[in-house]
Amino acid sequence: MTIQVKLDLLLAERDIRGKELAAAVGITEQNLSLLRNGKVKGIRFGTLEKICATLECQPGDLLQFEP
Amino acid sequence: MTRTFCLLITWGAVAQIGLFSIAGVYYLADQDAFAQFTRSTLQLAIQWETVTSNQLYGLWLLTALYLSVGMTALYFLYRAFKSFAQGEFFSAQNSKSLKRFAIFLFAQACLQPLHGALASVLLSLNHPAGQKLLSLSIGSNEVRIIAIAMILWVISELLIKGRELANENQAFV
Repeated sequence: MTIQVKLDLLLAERDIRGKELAAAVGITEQNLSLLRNGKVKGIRFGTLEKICATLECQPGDLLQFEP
Repeated sequence: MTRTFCLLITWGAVAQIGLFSIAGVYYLADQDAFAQFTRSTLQLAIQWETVTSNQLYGLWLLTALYLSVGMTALYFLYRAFKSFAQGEFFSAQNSKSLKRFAIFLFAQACLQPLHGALASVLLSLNHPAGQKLLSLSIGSNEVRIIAIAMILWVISELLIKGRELANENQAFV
């Protein structure tokens, strides 16, 4: 059972580069890369809110539970 | 201010280790000075005219062993506070060093009465039968040091927990 982060897909759909998203959200590119690869333990609500605002999506569009 | 305190403690520990080492070598080389120092510091009813140089060497060794515990504690204090001064508060190494300092401080406080007892037996070996000494004394100082060591032990555990929290926090984006 894993939580998949679908950030790559959303970025590709909106034609936004990771560097731009990192700058908009206020996190480092390194941390964004960790998030994209699902190598983080958690995501803060603040970060999630900024990502959703930048990508104009819902948290559910970003995360997917795979049993 | 915190950094200044940390640096003061760091250099204080280094200075004490250096001073104790120099004093140890000096007293080993100059036995008369060591005898005089012993007479002035040990509050025991020793018949000093019966004390031989071998007994003084034995006492020097005993004291060196006892002080080496304190010096090891100072070494770990130096290591911990050197890192604190550099701004590294939550590293695993610091927590271990502080814990080891607490352990050695505790050990030295516990060994203090034993050192006094062994010193009294050693120095009164040549006393006439019935006048040999075994002196055991525990002062409020030892109790205070043991309390401080226990407090530091708990603080080092807090640092370890703090480190775990910092690691966990780093895993959140």
